[in-house]
Amino acid sequence: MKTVPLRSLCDQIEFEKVYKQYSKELYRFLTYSFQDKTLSEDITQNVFLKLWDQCEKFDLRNIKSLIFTMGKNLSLNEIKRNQKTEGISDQEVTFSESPQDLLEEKQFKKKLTLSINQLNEKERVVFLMNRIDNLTYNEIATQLEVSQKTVEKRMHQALKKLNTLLGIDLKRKK
Amino acid sequence: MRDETTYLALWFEGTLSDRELEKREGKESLNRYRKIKEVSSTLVVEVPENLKWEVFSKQLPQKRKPQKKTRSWAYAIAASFIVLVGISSFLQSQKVYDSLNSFNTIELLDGSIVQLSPGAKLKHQRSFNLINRRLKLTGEAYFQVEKGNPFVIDSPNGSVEVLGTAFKIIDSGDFFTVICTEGKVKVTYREKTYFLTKGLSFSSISKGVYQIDLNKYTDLSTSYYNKVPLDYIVDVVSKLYNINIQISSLKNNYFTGTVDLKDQEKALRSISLPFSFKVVQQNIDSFILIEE
Repeated sequence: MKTVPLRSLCDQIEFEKVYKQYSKELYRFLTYSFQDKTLSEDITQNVFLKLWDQCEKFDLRNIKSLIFTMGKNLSLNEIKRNQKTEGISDQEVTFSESPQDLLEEKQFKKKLTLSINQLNEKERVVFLMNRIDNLTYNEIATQLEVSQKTVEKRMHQALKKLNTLLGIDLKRKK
Repeated sequence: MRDETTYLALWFEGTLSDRELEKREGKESLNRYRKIKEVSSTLVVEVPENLKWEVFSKQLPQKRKPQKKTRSWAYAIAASFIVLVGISSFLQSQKVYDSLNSFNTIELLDGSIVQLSPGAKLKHQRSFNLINRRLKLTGEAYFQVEKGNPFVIDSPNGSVEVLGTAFKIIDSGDFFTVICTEGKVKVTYREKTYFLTKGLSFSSISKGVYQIDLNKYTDLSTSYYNKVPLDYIVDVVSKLYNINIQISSLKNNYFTGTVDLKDQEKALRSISLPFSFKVVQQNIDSFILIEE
């Protein structure tokens, strides 16, 4: 009989590893959906507090999907309780600034941010998971529990809309 | 022709060429898409300070008490005394592993690995491996012991002592069995000692040592049992699948065979067929095994 050593989440060192590995990713994921800094921060903290509290129940082997499921469930509760969260735009997404950026570049970045905020939630999540987390369509599909085709469609829609929004803006300027 | 609803996504990941995209969308759009792709690669989301581990970890309820730093000598002496008491009480406290309704694999401080079966409970002092390697077990567990100091398992019916080997124990009710799959173990049962080497088993039913076929114990998707009280197997199966099983038979049956760990139906069949029991399902999670 072969056995695999199983690490426990109740061990603070293991817990720290899990936290460091997934907390940022979860936080970013939540901001893509809600564009609300405070809400995403609260949910991220609550997920990990719950995980620590009930550490003996969880299996480290599928901890990632568990963390994201918990995040999604807590968000749903939160949104039900607080309907207005939907649509609040806090401009969570920013760009890494570089000193070489020309004014034109800066303006484009600003417009792109505004346009991203105008995407619907599903499109925005896919677009940002690809751009910020560098995930492939396949990886995004796994995490969102949808087909790869669906992810590609959402990405397509997102790009189409961004192109239109940025296009209108540029024409207006002329 | 590629899919009309995804071609932008395909271009984005490089499976559609610039030329093809230009044909569909025109030069101006192609340039804008390129710009979107380039600029969006510098997008970031700042993670707030509060989510840094150093900040967040302060919120975690401590599972162990931290020691406070004190400055003056008197405090230092008092503190070291408290620490000593703390350490000794910590060492005397126990660590308990409970395996309620699944097979759980744990790694002990000395690197030994234990697989606990449903319903098993394993305890040891926090000082485990510092002073000695002694554990208490009820239920069923499979041990792979790292070489080192004597490793002793006390269970209600007997005790097992080893140096570095692999073996399985089941201690449930009056029933006690030890199966040695590697190395050598010393079993004490009712003040008599028995030595087991690879492929030998001791059972409280025969009160003796007998040969077993180790090949039957190697399949991970099933668990093999040799002459084990049926009540115990029924208990394991009901815990594992979270179902309620009753047996309407007065006989003391002993089970020999494999139990499927993944398929509830197969598991039920394997514990009822050998005794020609009929499985009657009462409701979704309740079954009765009736003697035919």
